[in-house]
Amino acid sequence: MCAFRLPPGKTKIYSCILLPVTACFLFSLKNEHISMGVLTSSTQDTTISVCGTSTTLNTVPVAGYSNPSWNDGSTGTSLTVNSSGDYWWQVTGASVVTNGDFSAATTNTLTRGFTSAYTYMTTASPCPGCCCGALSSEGTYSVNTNPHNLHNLFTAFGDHTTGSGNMLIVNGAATANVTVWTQNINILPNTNYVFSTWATSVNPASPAILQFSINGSPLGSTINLSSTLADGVWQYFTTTWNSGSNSGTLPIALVNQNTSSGGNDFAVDDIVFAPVYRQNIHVTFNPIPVLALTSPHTACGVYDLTKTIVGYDATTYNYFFKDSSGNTITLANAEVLSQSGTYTITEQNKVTGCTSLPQQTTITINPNPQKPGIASS
Amino acid sequence: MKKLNLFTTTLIALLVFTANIVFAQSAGPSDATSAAPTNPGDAGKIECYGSPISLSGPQDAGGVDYTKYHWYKIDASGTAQLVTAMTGRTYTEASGAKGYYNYQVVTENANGCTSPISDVFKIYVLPQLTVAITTPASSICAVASSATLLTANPTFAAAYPLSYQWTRNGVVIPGATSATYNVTGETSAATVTFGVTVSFSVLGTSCSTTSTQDIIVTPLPTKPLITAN
Repeated sequence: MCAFRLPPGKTKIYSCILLPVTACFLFSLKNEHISMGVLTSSTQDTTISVCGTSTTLNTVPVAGYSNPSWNDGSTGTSLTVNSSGDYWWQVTGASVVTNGDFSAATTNTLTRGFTSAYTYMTTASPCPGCCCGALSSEGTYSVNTNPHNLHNLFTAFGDHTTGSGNMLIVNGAATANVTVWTQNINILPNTNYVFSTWATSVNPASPAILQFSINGSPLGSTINLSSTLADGVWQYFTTTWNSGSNSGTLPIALVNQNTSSGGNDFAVDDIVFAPVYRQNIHVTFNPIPVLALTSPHTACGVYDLTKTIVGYDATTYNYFFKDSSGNTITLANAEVLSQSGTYTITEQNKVTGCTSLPQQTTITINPNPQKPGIASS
Repeated sequence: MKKLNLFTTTLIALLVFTANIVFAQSAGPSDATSAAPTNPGDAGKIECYGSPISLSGPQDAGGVDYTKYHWYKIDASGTAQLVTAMTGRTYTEASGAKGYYNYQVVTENANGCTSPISDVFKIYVLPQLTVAITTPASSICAVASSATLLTANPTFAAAYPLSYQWTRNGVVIPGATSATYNVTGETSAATVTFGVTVSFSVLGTSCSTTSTQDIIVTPLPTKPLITAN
């Protein structure tokens, strides 16, 4: 974990060693922006302390990773936050799913890259007694550029990837826990993965209910296609998974959970299973001290500049003094000021390091008469 | 009218009270017990008993009086007590009993800035000297052989070496410099005033006192003539 304090308006480069020691991150900070350099671990924690009430967290490009997203669901390379708390951003690596966009040949189960408990159909498949097309029967699927090509009651629309490519089109059955799509993928241990897909109904009746699954275990909440969105409006579903001690080849799957006998007709595209790097950031906002001075002041001989500070508190704050030429004055000298002039004072919280805006005060110091002598007269 | 008098009385009382608080002026010496000065550095000045104490503060670099002079007198416990804050640089005070009268001063300029307090300035007031003339007879006969002895009796004969000078009707009698003077040789009937001035000196300061004694010179009866009856 890295922890550092960031004063406003400062640009610094910090480096820290992460555990387990696999590499070192460089954090480039400018105006409270935080970003990450070389990626070597799937999750990192950082604590930053910010003076003020707002800061912008930034990512930086990470080789092999893309699509930064934030804890609030937003995407992009920056996030402005206004309250203390825990935040994270993550970037996604290359998907390990083969043919997740269904662009590969469809007739060859090897190049197709996935299997299903449902029956694969094509527009040319024999379908005795079918009313409406190749996917007239429940528990069938196909890969095509237009659902309507496979069922005349399926809505015609393009795929998610390009609008003209292939998609997985399914006539779901009324049996739960049946694998609609599965693929064996190679898993790295102790790695965060994102498992996502785009899906849409091809017929408005009984929208599909699906479930992400890894190695036979359900993952995350069910994927419930909208009952209000029109067919062909692609919806994004995602979940995350940490491989822990798992490694090697494991099956990932989309499993049907809809038991309705009518409807349950849907399309799936752009399935992704990819490692993600997540940066956890604990942000603490600290108030900027407000320095108030009383002014002007007239004194005799010497003047204690700290007397101008309202609520002077040397236990909590450091104070910095400068003369009208910008020269720094030590606290000891500030307490016995002997020159008239305009002085600038700033206040810094000893714990947070937050510094107030500089304030000025004018001091007029009149000379004292010299030590007198007495004569008899 | 009665209400006005009451108000005036109260105001005066308040003023007196305030003055006593601010200016806790104490008469008498700051130090009545220490030995009298024997060296010039023991005191800034030596005064005779009864002489007023007069002190001066400095002027500024331009030769102008400071706006205010704060005079302090050291009390018997050694504490500087503010006596007065005054304009004008000369402070005077009547002296009292013998002893050291110790003072300090602080000057204040037009900006209200004040100086450090001065070092202590000591004035030593010598003890009071009085003298009385005693004589066994206050009249003598106007004949040269008639005499009476005048004796000067000073109050502290042993404290300091004293000098005496006798006078006759205000005229110094040459050689009459002892504590006694024998009146003789008065041949004319009259009232003759004899005086004695007793003086002493300490580190250059001389103090003296004078006393007089009238001696009546009584004429002799005229030479008698005897007549037959």
